[in-house]
Amino acid sequence: MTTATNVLKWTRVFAVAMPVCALLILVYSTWVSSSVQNRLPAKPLVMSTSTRNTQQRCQDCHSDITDNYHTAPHARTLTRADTPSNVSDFDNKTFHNNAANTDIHLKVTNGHLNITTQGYTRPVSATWIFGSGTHAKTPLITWLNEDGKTSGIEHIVSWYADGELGVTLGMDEHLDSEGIGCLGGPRTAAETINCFGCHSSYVPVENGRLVLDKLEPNIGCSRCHLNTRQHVENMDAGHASTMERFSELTPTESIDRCGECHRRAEELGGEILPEDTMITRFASVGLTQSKCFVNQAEVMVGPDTVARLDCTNCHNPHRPTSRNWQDHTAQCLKCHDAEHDRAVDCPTAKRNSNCLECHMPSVPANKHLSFTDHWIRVRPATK
Amino acid sequence: MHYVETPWTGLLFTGAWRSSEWCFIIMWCFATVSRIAVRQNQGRSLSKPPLRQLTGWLLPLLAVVLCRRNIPVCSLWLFLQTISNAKFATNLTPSGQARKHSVWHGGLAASLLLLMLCDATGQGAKPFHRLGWGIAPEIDPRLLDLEPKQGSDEFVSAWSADRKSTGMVAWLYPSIKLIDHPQRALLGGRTNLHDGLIADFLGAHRARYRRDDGTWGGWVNTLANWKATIVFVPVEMEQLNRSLQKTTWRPLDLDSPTVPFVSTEDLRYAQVILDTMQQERFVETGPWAPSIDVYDGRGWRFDIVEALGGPMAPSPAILQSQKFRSMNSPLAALRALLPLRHGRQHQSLRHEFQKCQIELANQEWTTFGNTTRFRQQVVHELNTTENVYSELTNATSTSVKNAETVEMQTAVNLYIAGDLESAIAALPNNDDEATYAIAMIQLELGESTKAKANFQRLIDSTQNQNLNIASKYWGDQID
Repeated sequence: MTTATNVLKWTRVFAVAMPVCALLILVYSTWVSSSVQNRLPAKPLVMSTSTRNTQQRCQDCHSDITDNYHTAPHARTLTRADTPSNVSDFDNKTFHNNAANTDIHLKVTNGHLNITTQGYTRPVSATWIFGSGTHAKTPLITWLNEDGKTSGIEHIVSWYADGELGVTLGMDEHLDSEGIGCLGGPRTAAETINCFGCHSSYVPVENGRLVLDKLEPNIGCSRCHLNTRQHVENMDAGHASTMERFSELTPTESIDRCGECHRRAEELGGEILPEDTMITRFASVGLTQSKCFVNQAEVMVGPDTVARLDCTNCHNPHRPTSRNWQDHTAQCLKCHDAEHDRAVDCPTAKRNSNCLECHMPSVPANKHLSFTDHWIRVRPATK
Repeated sequence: MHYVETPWTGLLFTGAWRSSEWCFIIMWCFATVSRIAVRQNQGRSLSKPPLRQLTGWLLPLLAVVLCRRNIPVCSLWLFLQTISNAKFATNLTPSGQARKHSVWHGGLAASLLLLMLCDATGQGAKPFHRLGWGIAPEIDPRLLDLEPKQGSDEFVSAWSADRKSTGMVAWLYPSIKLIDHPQRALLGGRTNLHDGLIADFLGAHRARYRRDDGTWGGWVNTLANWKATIVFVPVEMEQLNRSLQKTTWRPLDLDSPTVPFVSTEDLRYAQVILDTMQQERFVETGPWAPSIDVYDGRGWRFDIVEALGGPMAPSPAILQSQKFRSMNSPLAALRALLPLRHGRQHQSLRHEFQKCQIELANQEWTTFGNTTRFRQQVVHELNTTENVYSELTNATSTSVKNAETVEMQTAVNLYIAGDLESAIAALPNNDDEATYAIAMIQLELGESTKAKANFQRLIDSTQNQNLNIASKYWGDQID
């Protein structure tokens, strides 16, 4: 009897518990289902608003830097096609591409750079021009693709600092006289967003579509200085700054930060050869190949001070680069000073010579453009 | 867009119900009514069912609420239950009522069986699924053909994007060491890393970059740290396949349900990469006219529905078409569908055909500057503006209306119905747009030589700039 009573009791318990459990499982499964669908992956910083502040907020405290920042090339990396400078450089111009034997006509209308050529059936337009003009400026043709995402074509025609239009660097081998190839290099939606990513402070993207009216062009403080929001919160609360300082990074980390846009050696693909002329375009890649960079830890510039070489030795990213060679050779001489038991002096030139002529010469990239070779060495032609 | 390998497919709040979900609910209701009728006949109280009966009643419903994939087995459960109830009810009732119950239950059981059989043929279901024999093409490892290159003492390291690929690789290639795969990432608390790598491929984030959660992204470094030399991606992850096509990673297999990608910097695979690229060119513009048998990993096919006079299962062809589309080869995708595009076509096949046409139309719009009239009319006739450039859509309606001819319309209808030879015959020879249409249909049929001749005719004679560009483009693709 007792056993039967127990069985009956447990049967009643299960009879109640089962529907309750079923209901709980139902609610849980519905919750899991909706939460999994809504979980978003981490975004690239340039596409996120969660960690950054406005430029204006930085200016409140750092006006010594921001007041003159507009002179820096980083402040002019991305401009609209209808700015006076771009109109002057592109409007009503025709470029003849000798290699492909095509004519490309450029005209600025209604805020866009309209591009027509006999090799492509319909006109296309570029709203944004990439580049500060220190070296060159290149239009990026954009449109919404079949998935509603922003795709682009890096235009085959660029404006160069010598005032002329020419074939965009890297496209000299583009021989297409017709079709999309005659316009330039097509970019997928993801690549187009990344183009904007290196030339902007904030790139808003919704389902792969660039929200161009909310774009923050040019390199602002938050693009390189991470977590400005946390920094401002700390400062407002009277806490110590936790802002990352470039001087506290190792030289490799520091160059890597610049290399996110200016390229890194290990991400180029393939072996880096000394005779590769394209390396000159990527200063951060060349610098990391230099003996000066590789051996810097072996040089003491003070009793307790190890030599340090990274991009910021010669380049202040908040200002235009000095064109006075003596400003740069002064950096060389901080380490290369045999008299004080530092790195060796040059055996062939005096200390007041221009080191750059032999060790960091300007190398032609195409007929309009030269880059300083940041692979510090004696190039075969100058030996 | 967050990637979820297998989206949770519960019954509620996870998408619209299809025919199978409705059928199951109807079956469950019928089974409930049947159960109540039996208990009434037994003279038992309805308010206190025994635990086992309660379990038997609720369990199928609970299983389907948790996951829609349980529908087939739970449907079978309900069917057998109904049969059992019918037999039991007949035994209990007086003979006069027995016949009535027997007819009622028998009819119900027969209806349910018919419903299940109809669902099993896959004719009403979208996406297509059919009860069959053997291994489904989506998971058939016999189609994966890879020769892992390694030294005598080393493993080949690989990363797999999903569990299906993991299973196939582990089954076929013990010499491949899988660095990470979704299940291991889940167990190891590394789903963010796994998802992040996929997001990096999709976002073309080659170089290291900082994310807003403080982590570093960039696929080059991640794969280099793992020393992964092969990446396996299932065909269903179309966007990931497309993204990888734009990198230095190349596919080594064109018909496997999971695609092995290797880096062009790995010289051990250089010859295989070249061979595969030649195959890609061949399936796109070479004299390739596949039959349905190429899709089966066994080398032979058996489909009971087809044997009973039903249509062929389109899944293998659709899968192959998806693969070719992800390689930016929509013409090869159309060729893959062609063996099934005769007679009545399953809606999944029509949907895939639509996608191919949209891609071709968009490809023409982007590559040449304008879409050709034939392709415009096909897209227009398929009555879809989804995923078509808005400018193309606007242009299509106007130009199709203005330029429509009876011959072109007839040809388009025949083409969509799958009768390509008749479509060619319906097109006139004296119209440039028609000549281009003929050439493209011939190319789709695998008649590359004839197509090239027509393209050359257009290059030599047409004044239409768009057709001239298009003809040169396709003419250059054909060897």
